[in-house]
Amino acid sequence: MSHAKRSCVTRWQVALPPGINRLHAAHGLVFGASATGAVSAWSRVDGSLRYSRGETGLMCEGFEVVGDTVLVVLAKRSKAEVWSKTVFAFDAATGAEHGRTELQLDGPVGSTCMASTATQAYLALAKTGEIVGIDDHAQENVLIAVEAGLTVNTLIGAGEMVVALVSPHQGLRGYLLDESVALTLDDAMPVAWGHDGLLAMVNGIVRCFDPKGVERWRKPFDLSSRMALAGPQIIAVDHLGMVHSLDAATGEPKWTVSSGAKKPAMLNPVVSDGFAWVLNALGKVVGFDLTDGRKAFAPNEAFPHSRALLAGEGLVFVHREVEGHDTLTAFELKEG
Amino acid sequence: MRSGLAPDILLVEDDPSDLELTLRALKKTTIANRIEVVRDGAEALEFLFAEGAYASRALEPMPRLVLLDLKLPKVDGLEVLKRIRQDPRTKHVPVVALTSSQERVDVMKTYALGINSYVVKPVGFDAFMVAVRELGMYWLLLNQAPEGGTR
Repeated sequence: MSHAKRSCVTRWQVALPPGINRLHAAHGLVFGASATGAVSAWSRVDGSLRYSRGETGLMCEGFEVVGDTVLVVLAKRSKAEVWSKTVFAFDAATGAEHGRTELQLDGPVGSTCMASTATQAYLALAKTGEIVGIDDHAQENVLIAVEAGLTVNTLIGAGEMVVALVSPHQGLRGYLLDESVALTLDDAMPVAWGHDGLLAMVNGIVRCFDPKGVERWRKPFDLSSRMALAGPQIIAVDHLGMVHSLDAATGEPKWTVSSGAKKPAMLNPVVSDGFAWVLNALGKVVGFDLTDGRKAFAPNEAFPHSRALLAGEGLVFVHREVEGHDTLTAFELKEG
Repeated sequence: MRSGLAPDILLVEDDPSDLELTLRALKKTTIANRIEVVRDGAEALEFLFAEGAYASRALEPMPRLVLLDLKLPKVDGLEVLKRIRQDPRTKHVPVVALTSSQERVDVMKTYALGINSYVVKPVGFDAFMVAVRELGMYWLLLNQAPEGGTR
């Protein structure tokens, strides 16, 4: 297979405001949520700040982008306990507010966790046994009762399921929009998740579930392995730095290449635009062609202290520290 | 630092600059007199279980706190954490992950394995110093260990 001449060049770089701890690329924007209650959106074209929303003095406890809507949970903390939480919904492209709801709380409920599938956002309060669905106007639309005796620690969106990480069994419980239980796993931890389903590790075995929670296959992997779901493929970087493409339906290997370092990758790989991007143990971002694993192109720089890696709409983004500042760098893929 | 006494903190860090910063911050607090530094996951396990180069070390008392980088040579930080939590001798030792990754999957994996706290290394010298100092203050002064736990 022939490849056109390719290169990977820095398109832009911006200093991020302090405390950014969640990033998401969609709608021609890169969204960043800060623990201090602000959500900012930068243009993917040039990194310019499009808008920043939030309320000072509040804590951001959840941030999700669902379709055209950004949903945020902001908490107001009294001296002793968190008593007030508000869900804000705003238009992803413009930042215009769609709605807001103040959650009715009976007392101190601990922190909020939030997750989304492709079509639905959910939130859960740490000390309640419920998962609440949130629509694009910040209104409650679904109520899922979690199994009695379990505490929801956090949520993830996996395929059509909202998956709760619960204690005391360190388990996973997956629910569908009709509130039915799709998945029950104890002593499990999520390894990767997304619109294509869930990968969870149980006693050193990675188990792959489809978007409705039906198990597809199991394979042993080291604890330090890094994985991503990418439609018909799974990308896995093992503890020796080898990058594997697996058939998502069967788990059968399709190709295996070296990440360029003989250690585990620093972050989970990301998949976009026909490439799998791996931040290897040397801090190098390397792109691999999804069809055959051929090394496509890589920025020349190394990023040993990277916080997050994301990709989409022709760009790869690295969140890292540059000279004492939180920085987001966008790399452009060029052919020809 | 190497002495016959049990350390207040076992610092597991392979990055030289992060190691230097963390040591400077901890020494400024004066709350941790004894800090043992190990540079990879295998050495951390040898120290904790008094094996290999640390075979002559008394197993008890355990460090009052383990500050654990997750990306370590030889044995990965997650594996170190898993071994600490699986062994009855070390399962109650407080372990704080001090790492650069803020990926949700890393937070979830470490909490599933029983981490006590997950701290993303703050950006900038001053913020890093403050964070490490406050971590030390909390875990060594404010936190109450279980009876018969780490001390």
